[in-house]
Amino acid sequence: MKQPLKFFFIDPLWKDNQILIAILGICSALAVTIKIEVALTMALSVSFVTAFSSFFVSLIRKFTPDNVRMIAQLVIISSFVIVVDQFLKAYFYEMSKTLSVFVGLIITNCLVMGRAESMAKNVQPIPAFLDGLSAGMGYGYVIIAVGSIREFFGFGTLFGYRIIPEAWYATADHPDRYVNFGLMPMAPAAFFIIGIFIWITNIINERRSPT
Amino acid sequence: MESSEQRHNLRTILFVIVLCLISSIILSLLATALRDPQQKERELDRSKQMLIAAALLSYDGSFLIQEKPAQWNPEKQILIPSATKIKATQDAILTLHKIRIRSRLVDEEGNIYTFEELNIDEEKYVEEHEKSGYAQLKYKLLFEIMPNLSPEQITAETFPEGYIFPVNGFGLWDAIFGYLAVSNDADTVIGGTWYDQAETAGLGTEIASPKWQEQFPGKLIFAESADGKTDFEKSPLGLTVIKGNVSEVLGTSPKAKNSLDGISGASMTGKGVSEAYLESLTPYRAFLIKARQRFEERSAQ
Repeated sequence: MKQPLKFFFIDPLWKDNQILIAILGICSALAVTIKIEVALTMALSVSFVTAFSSFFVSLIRKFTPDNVRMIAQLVIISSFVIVVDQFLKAYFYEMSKTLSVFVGLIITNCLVMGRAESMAKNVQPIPAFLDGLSAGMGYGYVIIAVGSIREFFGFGTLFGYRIIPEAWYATADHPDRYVNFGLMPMAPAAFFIIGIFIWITNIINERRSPT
Repeated sequence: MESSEQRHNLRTILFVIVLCLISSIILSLLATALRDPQQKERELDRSKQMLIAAALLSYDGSFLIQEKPAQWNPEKQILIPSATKIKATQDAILTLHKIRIRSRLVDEEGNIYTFEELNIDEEKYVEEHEKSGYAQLKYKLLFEIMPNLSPEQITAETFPEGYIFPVNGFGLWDAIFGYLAVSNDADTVIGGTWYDQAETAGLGTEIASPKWQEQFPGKLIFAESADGKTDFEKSPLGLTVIKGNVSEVLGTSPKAKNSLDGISGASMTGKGVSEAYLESLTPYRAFLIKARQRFEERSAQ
């Protein structure tokens, strides 16, 4: 597959977006999109893991015996996830407490394995790295968008900064004022929002190239 | 088996071994290199959790005096009231912790000792017994909360504001560790935290959320009897997680003061928490009785 290097980077951002088109990596989107800060940390972690694991899977692709191919990919992916986990525990302890098990669950994220299996083992290391990096970034901007909606409507803040003024909120004296959208911090909200995003994506793609 | 097949299998095994070896070496080196920063973060978190339980630090990271925002004064080394919430720095937190939280050892009869008096190395003691808990030991770990005074003014005779008990038990999946801060009247709860737990995300992990922990201040660890009196010698000791909301289920009954709101979907975790309080506090009964006596003597003055 000979294509200019830049397409390896551009395609997963929209054309082959892992969440919106390939519908992969949705599971983690439920818990890590409650607030933007959490979603951002997760996006960076997934991008890091996918980029570097794709790079190394591609690097050893000529030596990897076919019957242990997937296990080898898992070893490499797990190693990088542990790197992220250890790093967070050392320098971003509060965030690692918030993300808790979900960092470890990046290993099971179909997105990472998907890139390794469908791209990294077939192409050279540098294209594989770019593909992994942008697959992670494509995943990243979608979960950050979901996170913005959930944080704004569920908490009235964005990235921790209060947007909806305290004064607007309902109190015991004024029960008819604004109340945070209670569904937003809950998991189903993420599902609905991602579903709507995929729907919009399909509409846009349909308009651009009607089938 | 053909020789080429044998060779292939050998190659595969060799590949796997080399891959795992390289991976393990890199990860071990990384873990060793990051061990110190991780240890520092854990200790900082531990100190934070203790200060939060003692109502000296708010959940969003600013100091408190009597529930009002405060800031650290480095010259006098005390907390002074502040008009707005100011985020506490790491150094201030650690220094405050060192000054205001005093670690002590308590025996079965309720006598208090310092680590030096008993010739026990605190670090070794903590390392050895942290995972298994302190309540069943001969000399049990306890923390005294010192009042808001400069270090020079705090002496061995300074009357504590309260006490922090390390509590531990077993949740649904794994061990749980926390702190319970009790006022110097040996009965009223100041606050409680759970700093180490591996419960189900969104369900059992609620015990570590500020929202659930907000109900702690004002609870009582000794069960009041119907006539409003508390028999410190015999009454049950601890906090119980009930099914449903305390205000709805128990209303104004005396039991409400010893009960905590249940978390729907996390009844096993709740049971573990109740048991943890019971098992961790009961061995300190003699100490609590003596502390109560000291409190009553002091109030009578």
